[in-house]
Amino acid sequence: MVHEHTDRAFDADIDGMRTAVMTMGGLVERQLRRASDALRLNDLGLVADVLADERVVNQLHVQADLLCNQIIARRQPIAIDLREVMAAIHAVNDLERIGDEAKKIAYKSRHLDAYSRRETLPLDKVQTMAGLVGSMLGQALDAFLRHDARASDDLAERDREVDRLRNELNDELVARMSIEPGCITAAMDLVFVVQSLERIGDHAKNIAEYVVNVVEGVDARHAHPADNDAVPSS
Amino acid sequence: MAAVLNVGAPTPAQQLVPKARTKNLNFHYGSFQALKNIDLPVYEGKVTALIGPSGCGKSTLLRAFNRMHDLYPGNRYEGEIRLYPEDVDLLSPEVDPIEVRMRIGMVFQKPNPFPKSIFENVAYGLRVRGEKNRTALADKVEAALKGAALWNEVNKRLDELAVNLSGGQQQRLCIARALATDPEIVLFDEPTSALDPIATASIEELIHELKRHVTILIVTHNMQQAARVSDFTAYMYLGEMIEFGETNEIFIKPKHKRTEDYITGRFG
Repeated sequence: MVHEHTDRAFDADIDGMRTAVMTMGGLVERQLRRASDALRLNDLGLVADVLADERVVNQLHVQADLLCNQIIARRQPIAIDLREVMAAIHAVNDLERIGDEAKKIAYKSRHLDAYSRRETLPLDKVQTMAGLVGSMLGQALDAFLRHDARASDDLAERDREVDRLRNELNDELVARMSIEPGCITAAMDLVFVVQSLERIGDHAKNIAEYVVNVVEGVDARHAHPADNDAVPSS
Repeated sequence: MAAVLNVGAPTPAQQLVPKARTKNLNFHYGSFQALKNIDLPVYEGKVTALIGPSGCGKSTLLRAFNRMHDLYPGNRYEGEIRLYPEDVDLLSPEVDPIEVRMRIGMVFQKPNPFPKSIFENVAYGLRVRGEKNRTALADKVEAALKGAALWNEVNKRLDELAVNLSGGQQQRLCIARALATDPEIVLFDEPTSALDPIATASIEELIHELKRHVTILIVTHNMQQAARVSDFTAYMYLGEMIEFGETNEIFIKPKHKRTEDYITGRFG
């Protein structure tokens, strides 16, 4: 357990930084949920909600960065404090990217509204994938808040499941496009949705890796065997 | 590329040359034990910082290196401080403490120039050593003042009283005085705590330059200063050395929670 600083104002600064990260994380979780629901329910109102959240997410990104800069300038953090500030700086970048991917999913939902045979697309499988990455994001944020370094290995394992689902979906969509040219536009939209979901899973895994460095002082990035494959496994 | 890829790697052992080492060093001020079983390596050409809360023994340890404690009755050393490459125990009764202080110089917290001219301050140690040749004295004084980055500011007024210099200049004069006897190690006891930020920065820059020629041991209360100037850091508490390591490691991922609590301001 990390004790309080003698200078309580330092603790207040760190708490402010954590709050900014978690607020941004909560908003990005909501973006992903709404984008996923927009796709599942064909609800264009939710698309607008995702875009509205995007503006706030970007503001929070800038704010969180500013808070981190202020802590560095005024407190000269070292050891665990430094590692936590660096983790926050990295994490908000990943969260901002997740928000962007959620926005892309929302846009694709809008495109898919025009496809007359939506019900023939593998949307259930896409939802499974969306549920998995949404859960990963929640787990990563929880690990960040509670300094839980154990989440990294678990998320690496779940990310492999996400990659497997991506491969399956891509194969299915490519096969579909080859026999039914009329679905190419819609199928390609889903390919991009799948790609966005896979990237969200990667970003969630990254956040959990930053926590390992905070807690253990070990840089866990690129430490999992699949990270260093010379040839992609798919 | 290799330099970039090796950022954060510990200094290879072959690059670390031992200059001194305390071996099971204990020290008593009368009945009070101020140092307990200290094993501290000091590497040649490196800056080693001693940090810790007030009363932890860091200044006591520093002053053991140049036998300053001999000046007061009732003090007692146990253990050794070995100086290399001769592998001589500095605490041995056969070793002359005056000669130790020639080879191991000291700079104190408060600049303490002698009430003499700038020239005579720097020449003092040389005269004690028996140097009488005026040319040799002048050459060594100039070299020492250049080594302390003070020559350009005082070379036209070497006969002026040293006490007329600014605080930062006086401290650099004290460094020059220590350098004049070609020491192997220079001990700095909170050398900038009485100086303003600009003078502090100039002393820290000087320390960076000096370590190319001498080994440095520095006591500082300023955590950021220890992080800025030192290659190695030892954290002390209640007379014991809790942790020793490369400064990069100590200040990013110390091994001991007590070290981390102290350096992050969670101590007490």
